[in-house]
Amino acid sequence: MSANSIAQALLRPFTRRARRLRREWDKVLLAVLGLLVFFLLWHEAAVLADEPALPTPGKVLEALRDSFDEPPAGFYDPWTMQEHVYQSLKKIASSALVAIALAVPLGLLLGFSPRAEAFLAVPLELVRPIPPIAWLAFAIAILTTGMDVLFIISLGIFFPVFLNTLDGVKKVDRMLIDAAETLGARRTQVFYKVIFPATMPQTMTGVRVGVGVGWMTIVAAEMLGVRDGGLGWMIWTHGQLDDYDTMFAGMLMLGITSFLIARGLIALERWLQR
Amino acid sequence: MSGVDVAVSKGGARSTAATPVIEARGVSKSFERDDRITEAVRDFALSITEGELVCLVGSSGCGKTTLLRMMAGLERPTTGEVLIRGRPIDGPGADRGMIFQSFALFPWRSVRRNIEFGLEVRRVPKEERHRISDRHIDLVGLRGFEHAHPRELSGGMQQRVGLARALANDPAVLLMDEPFGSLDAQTRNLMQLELLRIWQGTRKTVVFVTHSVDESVFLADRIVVLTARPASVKSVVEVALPRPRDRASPEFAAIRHRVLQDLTEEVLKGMAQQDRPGVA
Repeated sequence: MSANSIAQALLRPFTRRARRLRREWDKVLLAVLGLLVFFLLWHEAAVLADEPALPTPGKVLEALRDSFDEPPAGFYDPWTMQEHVYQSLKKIASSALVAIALAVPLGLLLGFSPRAEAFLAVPLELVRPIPPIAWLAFAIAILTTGMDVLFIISLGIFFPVFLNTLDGVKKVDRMLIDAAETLGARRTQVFYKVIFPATMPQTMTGVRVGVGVGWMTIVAAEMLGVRDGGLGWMIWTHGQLDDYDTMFAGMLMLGITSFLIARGLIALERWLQR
Repeated sequence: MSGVDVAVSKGGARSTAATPVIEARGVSKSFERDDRITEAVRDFALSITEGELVCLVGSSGCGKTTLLRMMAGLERPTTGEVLIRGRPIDGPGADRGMIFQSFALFPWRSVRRNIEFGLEVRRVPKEERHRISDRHIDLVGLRGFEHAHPRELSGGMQQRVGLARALANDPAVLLMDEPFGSLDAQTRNLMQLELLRIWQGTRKTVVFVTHSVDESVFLADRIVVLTARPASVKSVVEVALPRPRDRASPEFAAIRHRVLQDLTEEVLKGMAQQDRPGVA
């Protein structure tokens, strides 16, 4: 073996990693480029429109930076941006817990029992297409403050989690159940040692999609008597105040927060499937 | 040609032992689907003794997997009964380990946790579980891969996990459903040798379903050739060749020829059936 070929053998794993790294870099570069083009088009459109309701990205970013330092509208909005983000995250998280606690067992049950599915599928399909916002008046009339917000956001998260879990159960490989049974597993053990873990990845996808839907409902949900702020409440309030720069700053912040949460959930999915 | 008749094989001697581990009596099985009844097995009888390695050979779709699934308890016979050590089988159980063509490993579990599954559901204490899985990891040659997940392993290695997982339960019988059918030729030959080594070490009774005549002659003490659907016993061929068997020997070829002849007859019958549906 010549010195050269030894050097080549030693370097091979590094060159392969380097190639993969370069591909990753390309992706990051393209993403940054896409972001730049997005801001550029937004800027041009804002300048062209010359409307207070469509501020330039520069103004929005400025408002965003300021909103972290001090409450943007004193009396009307006494909270800083980080407080708004924290309040919304709290609502999304508790709504997600409620929705998952209901959707996962229901999805498992319906996937496992064709009779339960035959019984419940039609009512659930009737409720599913109703947008969470349509429930606003109902929530205000029936539920206490706080619970109504939870209800609206949970509705948005519930169905993606439920449907994905149901579909996941149906797709569980029959062979895995056969294998478990021939290894001595009883019915309940098959359920929590095979069907539940086999369904997990798709349930997690449902959670990710559901939380995304949850963010979409948050402006409507936080229009309901909110006492401690939140991104949805903030966007709504600053829109009412004709403070469009801060309103857009809230919208941008909602997008960023939701994006980061989704990324975090993808990482969690990968880690769970490891 | 003397090898065929006079060679003293352990397998041949064992097959004369008294207590059957698995016994099928007048077993028939029909499936009903869309108002059509398909007969998969008809009047099948077989007795398998302790420590025997029996191959069921049949053309594809003849009902041999259905037979094995009835022995596992995953299907019930329409008529007749299957017994394990004299008791009728009424469902799957840890005394009959099954090995699948598609491996059927739990993808979210590591190699060790796959092997420990049967022990876990039978509530074997953790230390003992670990000790048993350790022994089986060594037995199938997976040391160093305990923490790997199935998707990180080659097909051959995955089936080693399948084998270890079934053996860890210490079953009375191993039911193997074309276990090497999805492996490439080299891996397949290697796994056949591995199975024989493990079989000779553990003295387990093995029922091995395959459509490969070569595989059955290489492995079996006794080959049961099945008829075309519905499956019943066409012929039983004793393989009294000493192991390891030489595929190139004339004795090997003679037995292979005999089995192939019986099987070909049935394959042709099966094809004729397909051409004229409705004729049984």
